[in-house]
Amino acid sequence: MSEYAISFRDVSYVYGEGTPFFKKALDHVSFDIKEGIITGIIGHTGSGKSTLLQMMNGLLSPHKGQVLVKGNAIGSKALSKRDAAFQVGLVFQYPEYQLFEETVFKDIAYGPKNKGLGEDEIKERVKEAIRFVGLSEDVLEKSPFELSGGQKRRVAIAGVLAMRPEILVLDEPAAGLDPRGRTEIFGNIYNYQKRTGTTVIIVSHSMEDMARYAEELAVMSDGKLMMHDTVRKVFSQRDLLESIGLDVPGITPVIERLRALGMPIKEDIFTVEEAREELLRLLKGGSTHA
Amino acid sequence: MAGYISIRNLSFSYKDDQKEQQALKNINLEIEKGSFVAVLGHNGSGKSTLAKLLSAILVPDEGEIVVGGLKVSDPELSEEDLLELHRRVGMVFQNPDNQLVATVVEEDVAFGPENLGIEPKEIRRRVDEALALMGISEYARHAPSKLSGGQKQRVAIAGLMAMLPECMIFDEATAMLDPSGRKEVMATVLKLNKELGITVLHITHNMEEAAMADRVVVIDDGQVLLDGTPEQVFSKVQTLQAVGLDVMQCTELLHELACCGLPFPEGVIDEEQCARLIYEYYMKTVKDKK
Amino acid sequence: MLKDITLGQYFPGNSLLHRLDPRIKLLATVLLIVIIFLAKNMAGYGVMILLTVFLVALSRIPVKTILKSIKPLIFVVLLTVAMNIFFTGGENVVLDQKIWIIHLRLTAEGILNGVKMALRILLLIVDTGVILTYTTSPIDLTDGIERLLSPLGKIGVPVHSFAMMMSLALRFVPTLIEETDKIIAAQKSRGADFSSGNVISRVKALIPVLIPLLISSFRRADELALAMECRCYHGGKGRTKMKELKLQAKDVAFLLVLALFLAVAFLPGIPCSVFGINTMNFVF
Repeated sequence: MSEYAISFRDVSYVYGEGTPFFKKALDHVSFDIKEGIITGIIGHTGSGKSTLLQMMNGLLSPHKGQVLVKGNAIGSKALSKRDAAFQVGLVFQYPEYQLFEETVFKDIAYGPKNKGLGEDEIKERVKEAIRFVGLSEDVLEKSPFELSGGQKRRVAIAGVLAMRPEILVLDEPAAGLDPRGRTEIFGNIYNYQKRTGTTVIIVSHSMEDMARYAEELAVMSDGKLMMHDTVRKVFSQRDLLESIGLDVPGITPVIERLRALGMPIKEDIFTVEEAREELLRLLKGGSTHA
Repeated sequence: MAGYISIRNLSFSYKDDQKEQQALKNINLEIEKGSFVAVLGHNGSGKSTLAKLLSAILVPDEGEIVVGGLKVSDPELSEEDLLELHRRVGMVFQNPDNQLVATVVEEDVAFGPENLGIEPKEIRRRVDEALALMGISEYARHAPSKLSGGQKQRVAIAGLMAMLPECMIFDEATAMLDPSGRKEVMATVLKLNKELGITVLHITHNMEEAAMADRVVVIDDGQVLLDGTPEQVFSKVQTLQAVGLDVMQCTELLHELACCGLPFPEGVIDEEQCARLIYEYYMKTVKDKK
Repeated sequence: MLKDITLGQYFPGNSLLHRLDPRIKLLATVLLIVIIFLAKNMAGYGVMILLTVFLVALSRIPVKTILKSIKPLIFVVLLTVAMNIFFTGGENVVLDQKIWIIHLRLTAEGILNGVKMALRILLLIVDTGVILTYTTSPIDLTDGIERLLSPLGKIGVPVHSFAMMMSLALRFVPTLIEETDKIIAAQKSRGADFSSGNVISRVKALIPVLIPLLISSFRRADELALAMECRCYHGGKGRTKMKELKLQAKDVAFLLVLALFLAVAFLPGIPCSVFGINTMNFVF
């Protein structure tokens, strides 16, 4: 057994070989994604993130190199592509556009059914999945098309959760949602991870969400892996991130400015809560306990 | 003095066979010519309904809407007046793909002026000007499907600019874009408003974007909840959070510090100012300590 | 993947063929199709091949691209060739043998017919491609059709609406292809299996792709109609065009050259029409 959930071994992939639209989507990418934590993948559009994701469950095969799920190469005898799709659950961007069944129940049951599970097992999993995404069982008999945008999104995510993947991969799960919708979806995913211990991989453009929910970050640019480290280490490389068109969380410039002005403030602060604690220590502690 | 857009006692509900759902309740708003107003609200708050009423796609149940002297709310609006309204008030929608009609960028930009029956030479001149204004002249002969989301939105904006509008309504036009696409579109919005004096109504649930406006109107449950400068609106952190909205991280930080008894103002939307306030207070407390 | 299909797509460029009036190109295409079907013998095909090579050079479309566009149709071509080879009777038997249980009887006429049919299909694809689809933006194409058919408007045929529908359909082809790819990938991730089982189960497996596609197409159509209305679209009435179609010398010249080809190669009574005589001995 491998201690890594997914490993990329010198993976390259090109689009449109021999056409004017030729593009190196992945260029000798090697790294290991740890088991049992939330890993974030960041990078601007076209950096190779989507290609990376679609390789994790065997939808795309590398032109060079290997992708391993728990130590087994996808497409090898030990792990067929279809098995990889069941082991690694992939939630696409705007997943609500794949809903097709008459009822929410049937739609969530589609994946487990393809897996060949029995009726009782499917029922249990559908109910479990709908709870994980924070919806009540009442919606199960409704048509997915009469739900609100945010609810549709959750149903679509539940459809993947019901397959009980060992690794859950989500591409921009909160795209287009309002702030409350974002917080709820990320909260659901975070709690799901904590409760089940599933390995979770999230692509997001929101550095604030990444700072709040991810443990490690992989940074992609131009088909190359630029960094793969803890969230703290990655966000402390602000210059490098900005040079490849990425931001840092909104609070970070404030902290950096304070440090530049000469305040003795910790440098690795990436969330508002951390900033508040640190500043309370410096400001209030200084004034009340002096 | 009445503004460019004048909305009085506006109410609207969506009706179908079974139920009636009130989307807007008794809205009153005056929007000055040349101003940049952000309309903020969570998904389903009624903010997009407002955009549809302003462009006469929907007709209000009650109340009156006047845009640049045209009585938009009149259900018997003549076809000439309707065309004139759409010429004057450009609408940019959420999905960049679903508003482009032609297979070549410049042909798409020409679509509006062609509908208005403008002389071919004049159309050519306007198209070239609009493309240059949006910084997309180099893509004039490209297919829209090959462009990025931000570029597509700029094509859509160019197509409206070629009709020489007085006002532009952005109906969640950034919601489906990545951060760089958002920046592209927001830079364009500012340019239209500040340099060309176009009245801008920007409908969004993004706080950073709303903070760029001169005025922020928060809509919740079909009613105007808050209305004022960004500083005024974002000083109501609790009210905003209660209706599922958020504030920028620097605003939130000062708000939380103020809640802990430190003398910081609310509604600070500038990171630099935020850092300066904290630093000044820190210097004062350090001095007091000595 | 679906994305790789190039057949019927416009390649932006600035060659003479790109700049010709779309009406002329439509007429030329009709003319060429007629010529191709009139060609009776190898010499006639030879003339057409020369003309096609000339047109390809004129279009400046890379040969590679053209070959790629033929690829998906190779099966059809081979099938036609096979049908002709095996089902054309004839005198000049070149092979008459029993292999295993199949009695193979090939005739020169059959082979020639097969080759001709293959040439005919390939010429049709390449010529219409080079003159029309590759070098004419869909908007020009619909413009051309609209103008050519405009006389029908006078008797109540909705020519403008038809042309607008066509150009919108063309606009959304790449968008829908991309979307189909996405939905297929998403359903595969939920364990959908499109490649095993019998025909019925395969067709059934497509439902999870077709329904989302249909729903999203309706949504797109709705949003598009709204956006068009907001861009002052109100039908063809009073509409102008940025690019007016005006026949120029080069357009007329191009059509004349093609007509000349037709006359020289295929009209009886003109010296070259010796090609019209049965040329079996000519070829073999």
